Amino acid sequence: MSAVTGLAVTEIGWALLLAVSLATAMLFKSAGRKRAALEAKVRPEICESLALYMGGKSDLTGLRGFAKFHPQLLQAAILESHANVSGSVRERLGDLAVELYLVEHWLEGVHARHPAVRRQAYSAMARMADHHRVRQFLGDVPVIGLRDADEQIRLDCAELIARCGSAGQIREVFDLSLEDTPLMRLLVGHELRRHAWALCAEAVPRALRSPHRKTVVAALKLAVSWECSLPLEVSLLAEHPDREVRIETMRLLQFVPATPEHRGALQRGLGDGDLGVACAAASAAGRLGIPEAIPLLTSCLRRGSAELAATAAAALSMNPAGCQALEEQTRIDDPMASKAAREALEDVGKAVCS
Amino acid sequence: MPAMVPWILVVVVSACVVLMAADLWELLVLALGAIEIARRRARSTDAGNRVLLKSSLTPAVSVIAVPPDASADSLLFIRRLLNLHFGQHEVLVVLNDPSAAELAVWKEEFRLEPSRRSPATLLPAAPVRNVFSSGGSDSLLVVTQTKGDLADSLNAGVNLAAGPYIAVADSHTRFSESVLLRLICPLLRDPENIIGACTWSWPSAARGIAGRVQTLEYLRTLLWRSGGLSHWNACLPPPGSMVLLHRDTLVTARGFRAGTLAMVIHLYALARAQGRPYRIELVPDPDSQPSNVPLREPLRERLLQDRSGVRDALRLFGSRLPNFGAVGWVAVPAMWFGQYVRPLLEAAALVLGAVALVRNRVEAVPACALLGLTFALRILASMTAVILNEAAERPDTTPGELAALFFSSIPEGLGYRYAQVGKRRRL
Repeated sequence: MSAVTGLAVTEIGWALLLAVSLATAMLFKSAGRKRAALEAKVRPEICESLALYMGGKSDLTGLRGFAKFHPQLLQAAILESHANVSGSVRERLGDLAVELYLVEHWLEGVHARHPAVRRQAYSAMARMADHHRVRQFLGDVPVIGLRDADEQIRLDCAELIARCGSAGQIREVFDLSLEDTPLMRLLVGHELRRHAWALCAEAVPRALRSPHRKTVVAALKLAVSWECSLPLEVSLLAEHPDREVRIETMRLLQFVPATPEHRGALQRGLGDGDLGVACAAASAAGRLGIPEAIPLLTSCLRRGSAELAATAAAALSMNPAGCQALEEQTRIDDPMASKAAREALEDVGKAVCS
Repeated sequence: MPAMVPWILVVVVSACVVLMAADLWELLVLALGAIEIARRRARSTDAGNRVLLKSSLTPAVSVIAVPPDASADSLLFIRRLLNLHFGQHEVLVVLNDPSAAELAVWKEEFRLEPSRRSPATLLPAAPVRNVFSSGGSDSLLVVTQTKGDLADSLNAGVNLAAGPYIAVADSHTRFSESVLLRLICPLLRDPENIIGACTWSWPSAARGIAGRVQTLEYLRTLLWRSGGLSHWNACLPPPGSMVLLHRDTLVTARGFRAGTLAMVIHLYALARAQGRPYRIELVPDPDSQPSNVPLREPLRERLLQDRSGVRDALRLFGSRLPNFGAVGWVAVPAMWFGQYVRPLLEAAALVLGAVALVRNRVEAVPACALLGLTFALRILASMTAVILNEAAERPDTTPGELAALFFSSIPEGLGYRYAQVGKRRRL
């Protein structure tokens, strides 16, 4: 019976603790709702003061008051306005962030232990970094942020550097993106696109010469994702022992100069024993429209893979000589090849009609 | 008969001890789950969505849906899947032995015409009759197949899928338009070790006692089965979750044998057998069901579907626990206990306690008090789940709604949930 009594006392204690927790949670919720209501009331006033400032008013008394009592709201309003304006008004907003000590506040935030605080600080800096006075405060902070454990912070810093970093810092972003996760590579790669040509001078060729297969594949994927013409020489990689390297090289061939070496590499890819490599090569050959690839593309129709046959047929259908070859293939005995050729010609017919 | 009373009391006390031990264990897992969910919420970000949408490096995803009929709800569900924000995604609708009238509805609604796409023979599935595409585009493919079960339909979808990733959504799944962008992130982050991802969302505030009791059940399932079991690397999808898996992994596992829950358990076992690191990621997806989607008892259908999924999983894998690692020795026994043993033990303890009380009041009082405390412990566990969730998730509810959910633990603990189960079975 004493055990039962002990248990009952424990449960009552626990119930009391839960009741206190509930009361606290309700109070927090209630306070949060009140705060939200207050913010909804203050936000239009902040926006009005900000609009007056952007319109040329130089008295900062009202805005200083908001910076003291509603710093988060003011910061959000400045960042939102900053994204929607340009020219001298944008410059004024950058000056305002410096005048109201927001930049110093962000610089303190980047050292916070809590990732949410660091995120907020880096995000704000990344958005305002194109203002020269803000940039003077930043120093090496974005480069340090590239090694942060938080993914979003790394992305913000890469974006910031891609927008207004030095050539050395951009190379550093590229090198780090090769070591980072595929997700980060994808996200950062997009930011690096505007520096693709500069990176192709030194950083990309160095990565392509790397003895590590992963680095080579990552660099090739990054270059393919830029989807623009690139001054690179990659013909040797078409004979790489790793199939993934060969596939990515074939994909990249459509973006590099059509030199005799690259055309030769493409033809070697079309004859590659690996169907994935041949498929990527067929796709690239179709886009480049190389006449000497037509016999090899025609042979791809008969290699026993429906996917390769469809890709090769689609590639052939992109030029008149290829269409002629396809018409011949519709009459042969191989059902897979003739079906692929027929379907590709039907697509051409539909495209012409439309 | 009085001689039997001590034995009855022994049984009652034993049942109470087992139930209390289970409740205490559940509480521990609930607390771990709340920590895990808070951690994941803090870490989640939509910062890269804009780039993921545009990049050619983002892999394609095939979304498989198996609508039960051609009702307006099913058509709306498919339209919502078509409206998902993603760079390259296709929706594969598998119709299981549809009638001519149903097929006519689908054809008219989506302007279906015969497609060139033919299914591969990667996985065993019921024979496919026709493949249709919508207006010549491959963004929507409708497959009709001869009568088969859910696994057949899902496998038929995988056979037809063009993307390297497969998302599975059932008609009770609630999702936001960015759900695929959120799901693909963990798989791109660590493609070698993460074998899948599933979503969770906080349900909208329930009205009425039945809705609140269902919310409590969903909450506990989410906190222990998805959040808590992540601590042992055995995270399982919560009810109504959208699940994203790699197509090659599905082929290696020889496809679906039942629903997604059974598939995820199987994938854990397979990865363990291969001796490689593995993880299923839990991804927060705010529930943004549009107002024109029917909200009639939304949770009830999800919970019903989940119970059926748990039954299938236990039927398929219940006897092979030792080979399944943490899923085998933690998740499956816990599901088995919750689904079958707990209701039996509670009912038996109540009946035997009442019998003992009638026969010998004096001797039975301590045992019945213990029984009362056992039920009270269950109520406290539910209340704790509400508080933990409040701390971890911070759902957008009013203080009144929070209090109503908290106090709904009392009728739920006193057996209201069994009344709900009975009602569901009759339905």
